[in-house]
Amino acid sequence: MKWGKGGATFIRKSVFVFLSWIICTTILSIAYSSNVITDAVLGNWTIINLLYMNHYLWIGFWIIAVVMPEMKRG
Amino acid sequence: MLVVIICYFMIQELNNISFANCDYNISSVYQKTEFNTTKWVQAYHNCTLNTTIGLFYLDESAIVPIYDDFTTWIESDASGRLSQTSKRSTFINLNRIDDNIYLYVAKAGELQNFVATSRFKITAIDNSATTIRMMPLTITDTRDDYTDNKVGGKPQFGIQLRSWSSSTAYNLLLYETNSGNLYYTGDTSNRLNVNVLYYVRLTKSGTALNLLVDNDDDFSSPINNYNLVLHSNYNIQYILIPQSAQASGALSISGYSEYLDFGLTTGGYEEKGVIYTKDLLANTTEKSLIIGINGTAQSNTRIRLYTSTDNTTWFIQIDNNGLGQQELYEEILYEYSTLYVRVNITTTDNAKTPYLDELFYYYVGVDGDSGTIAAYPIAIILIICGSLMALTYVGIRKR
Repeated sequence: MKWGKGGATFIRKSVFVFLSWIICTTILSIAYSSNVITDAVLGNWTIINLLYMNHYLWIGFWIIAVVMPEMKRG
Repeated sequence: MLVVIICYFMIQELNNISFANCDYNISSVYQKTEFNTTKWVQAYHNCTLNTTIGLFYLDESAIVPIYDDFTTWIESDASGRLSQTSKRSTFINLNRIDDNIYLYVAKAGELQNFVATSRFKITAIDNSATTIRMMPLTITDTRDDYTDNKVGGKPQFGIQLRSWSSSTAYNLLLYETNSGNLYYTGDTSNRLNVNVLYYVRLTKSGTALNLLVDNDDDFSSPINNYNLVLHSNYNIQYILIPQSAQASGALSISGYSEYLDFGLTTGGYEEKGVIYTKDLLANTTEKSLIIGINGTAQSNTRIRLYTSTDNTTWFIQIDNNGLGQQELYEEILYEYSTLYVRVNITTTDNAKTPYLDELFYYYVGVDGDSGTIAAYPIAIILIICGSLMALTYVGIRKR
């Protein structure tokens, strides 16, 4: 299995996704700490539940948007 | 294949969102508490790290009594002695000779058995005679002054104020007039002072009438504690605060009654019951709050739940002639972070004392392994993460 141009594209894309994930997590954390997202809004979720779900979504996104195209490209 | 596996784990995660932080911390044993006076019970949950849910007695000081609004009462005041604000009935220069001066309200069905509290102060008194001066509180079926009711043989009872010559001290006595006769009780040597606020509690239970006067509202060491056995178990409807004497000899007096609370009565209105909290571990499939009434039912029994915003606006009420229950599902529980539960028992049968074996119970169960997916968090995720993912995807495609 080849990773684009020697794997460099894959790594760049992965870093890009990783940075976006960090930004998204930061936004959610700041929103919660500043009460933009309140416990009442979360209902029976906690912020931990929300962040977990965030992580799973980004992992899924990374696989779909980065890993799978690279695998197809071979 | 990988996508399928990832999606599988994501779905598993959705179904296994831990509610550990939202579990309810309730004793594993039943907590049974009786309350015989007006109390608020607060149930709340708060989905944070230290979440608890349960029923908690509020401090007595947190109770918001329901006071009578004197501005809704009706005056008979040809001489212009009376004035009112919402919580205070004031009389200025009310004269012993005043005819038909009173402020009244009808409380049909509520005055056979009751506990009424109020505060009372005399601000000025003409002390040139020892005699009956006025009635701070009278209960009667005939709206009239004291003497006309007495002479006319119209039953009345309540609190009577007597003054003393050469002294501004006065007495508050229990009195009844029946068939033209006056009956009263009280220690006339135990006198009260002008410009001092006194707390008064008048209780009627059948023919037993009791008056407590104290310097504070706990009545633990009353200044006056008088009892009078009435000549009939009256069930009459008017309460007069104040009532003029209409007797010979001009003598003026000024003062006020305030914060009249008829919130606790027997036969008319009572709050009484037993509260249970239930072991959640035994009810792990339940995700709701159930309140209800068991035991010996009385007519017109009521349970109300109030929102967190105030203690007066109820959103759920159970009226089922004393028996019934209603289940509040978690959506409702989560909608209101604080629930006030107030148990109101009313009965129209004055011969009975409300009694319930198990007035009130509730339990809340949480299934720790299968939470529902809340709409708001999903929306948050989709909006924030979705936007960033779209931007990220555009960036990735350029590379």
